Amino acid sequence: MSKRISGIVFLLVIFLVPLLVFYFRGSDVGPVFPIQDDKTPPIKKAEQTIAEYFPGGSYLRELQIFARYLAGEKEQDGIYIGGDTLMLDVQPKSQDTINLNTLAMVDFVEDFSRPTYVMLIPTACAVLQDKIPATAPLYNQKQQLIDAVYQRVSGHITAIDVYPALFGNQKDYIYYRTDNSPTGLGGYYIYSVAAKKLGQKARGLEQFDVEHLDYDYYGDLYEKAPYTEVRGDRVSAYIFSKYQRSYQMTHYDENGARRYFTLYPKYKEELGDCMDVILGGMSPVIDIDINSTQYNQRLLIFGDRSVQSYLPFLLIHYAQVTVVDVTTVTPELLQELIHPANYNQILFAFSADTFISKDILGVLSQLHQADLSE
Amino acid sequence: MEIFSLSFIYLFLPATIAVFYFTPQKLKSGMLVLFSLLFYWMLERENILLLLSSVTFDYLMARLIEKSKEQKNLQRAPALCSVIKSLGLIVIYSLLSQYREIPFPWGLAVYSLISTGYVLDCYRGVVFCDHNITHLLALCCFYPQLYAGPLVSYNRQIPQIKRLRMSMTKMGEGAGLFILGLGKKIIIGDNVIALYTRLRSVPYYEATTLTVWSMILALAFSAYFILSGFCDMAKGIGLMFGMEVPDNFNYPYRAKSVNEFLARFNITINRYIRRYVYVNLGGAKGGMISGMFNILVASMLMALWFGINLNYLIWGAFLGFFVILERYWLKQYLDVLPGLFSWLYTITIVIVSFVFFAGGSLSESWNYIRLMFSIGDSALYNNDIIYQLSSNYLVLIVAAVYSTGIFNRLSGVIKRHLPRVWHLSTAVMNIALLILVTAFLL
Repeated sequence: MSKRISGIVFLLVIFLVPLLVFYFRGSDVGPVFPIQDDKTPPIKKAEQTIAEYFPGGSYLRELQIFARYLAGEKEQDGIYIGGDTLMLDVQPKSQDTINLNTLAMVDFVEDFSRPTYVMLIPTACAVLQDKIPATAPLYNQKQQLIDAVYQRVSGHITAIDVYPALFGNQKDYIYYRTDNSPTGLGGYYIYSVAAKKLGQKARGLEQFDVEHLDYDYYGDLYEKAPYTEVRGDRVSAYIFSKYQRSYQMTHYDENGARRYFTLYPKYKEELGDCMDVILGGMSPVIDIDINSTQYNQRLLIFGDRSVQSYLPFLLIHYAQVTVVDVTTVTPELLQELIHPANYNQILFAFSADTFISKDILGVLSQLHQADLSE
Repeated sequence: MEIFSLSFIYLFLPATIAVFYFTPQKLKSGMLVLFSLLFYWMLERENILLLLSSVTFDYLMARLIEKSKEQKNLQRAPALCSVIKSLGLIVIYSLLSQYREIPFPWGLAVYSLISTGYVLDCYRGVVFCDHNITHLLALCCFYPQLYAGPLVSYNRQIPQIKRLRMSMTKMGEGAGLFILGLGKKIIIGDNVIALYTRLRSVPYYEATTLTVWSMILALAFSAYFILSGFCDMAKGIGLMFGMEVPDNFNYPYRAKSVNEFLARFNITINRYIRRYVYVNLGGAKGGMISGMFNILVASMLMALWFGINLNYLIWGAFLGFFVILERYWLKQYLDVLPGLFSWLYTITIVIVSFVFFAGGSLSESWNYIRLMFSIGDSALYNNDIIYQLSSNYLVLIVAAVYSTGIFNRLSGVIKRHLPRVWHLSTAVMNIALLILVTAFLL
């Protein structure tokens, strides 16, 4: 009897699922697959479709993560689950990558002779260590990366060590629980160290108005490890409203330029998520002009998306800040838009995982040739 | 597409079940062949001709044997050709995969040995030559068995292949086995093999005693859960199409002697070797020396099933050595020992034997043995292994408990005393396991 029941239920499930998958897929008007070309074998497309439109798929993914966590896996697919926080496990793929990026910075200084600074921002797993199992084989970002790189570039580049400031304030909400980046508050602690090294006087946090953009934001880490015990994040904008500052922010990418007259174009939340509101999201090159200010210095930042945390604070000390997202910029854009000689200060600022994951600064060699030939 | 993928479970399987259900009875075996070839084509289309030509070759050899039945001497040549063809293909592709990195054709060893077994049976007069090549293709190419066996025999399977009949009872039983196999492979097997891979990558100078023991244990569990998972899936799918496929694993880690372990681990492979090699060598009929030799040859051939490699050969010889010891000297003692002690003796030998399976070379295996028994100045444990074990403790515990067969016994007791509860809980657990497996596949 039970065999018959099992048989009937099994048949129901395996026949019903594909019907539901194609029902859900049929009603979806958006892009179906990340890879939607003719080269993808049909069976692989079918596998992707079933995975994407599986009835209750998001609940099943949560079930999987929960089951694995229950079984002892505190790290899943390179992400630590520290109770209520998700943290990317940062492990260097090869020392060569670190060497290449370090040498690229030194070469840049030798070519352009501008006052240059480097700031490697530790990720959450290096700072919130008490949320990670004591025996976990953590990469020591402070000693093995930050200190080592700073030592190698000393004499050429001024190092900005933000680790002690972040570590000292680890009880605060300085990293998103579901996203691999510092929060606005974490950005403030980074800024307060960076400003001092850049020759500016850091302003107090109370001078910034706080506006909460979202109370339930789920970032990239949650997408990979949807552990249900982790709450959504609060995303805040820190706005310096004194002295009637006005901003003109231009985003450049391969499609051209987009101009905003605010640092927080809120309509972008409807198109993407609340992180797209902060500085209008990330683009290969972002150029920000600050008007009505007594400052006249220009800052060029070679960075990554971690700029979204500290740049709203740092901006107030400059007349112009240009951000080059080295993870997405193309040599053509770099040659066309970036002229280091026009800037008073250059800042290399990366999250530790960006710096060790790939050769991100190789693209600067294009800049050398273009600019030097001028 | 793999047998454990979403597209198989929720697309290929229901589609083939539906088509098979509406296929007229006399075409069902042909339809099964078509499904198998379609599956093979989707998985490894470049080797489908090899599969077809290998089976066709054996079909022709069997026909030749039949044609020359009046002359026994002439019958030997086709049988020999079939053996040389199958062993030659396996050896050549094994070497090519080791030295030229040409992938070993999927299922080559299974379909070659099954079809050669059929030719040898024809030669020995155990079975009649089958004139319908579809039957032979259905026997050799039935897709779920190409992963890890079982090695089926013509005389057992063909009567079923000729009368394939679906029923809801068989469907339910098959579904249960298929889901159990999926669970073994996806939830336990894949996790323990991942643990094994991580521990195997620890440099020798950083490994501790606990690291090596854990690594070997993970390998032993993964070998059992992945292989038996595939065999359960094969059994399950077979039943869905109305065909019973033999057992290939029977809780090998419950064995109370090494001989019993080999009788429970890869059952059909051992049966095949016993049937076509061990018995022909004389088995245990001759003197002690020839008996020992035959056991050693059989156990080494069993090991070569996993690949042509010196370490596998040593693994087989190591187990064979203990089978010899048991047969000629230890049996009297093992028989009187309490079960727990004989089990402890067996499991220790079996676990240690996997050192040869794990090592890439003999010197590496020797290094592992030194670490396992703390010969030298190795540490007992370190943070890394504690972290790895704490990250996988539940899956290791479930694997260990399941291997003892406790779940199976418990299920038997409930079935006897509370049949209704058993019926209901089996159906519920099957669905729960299917949901969990699907969650792991997403």
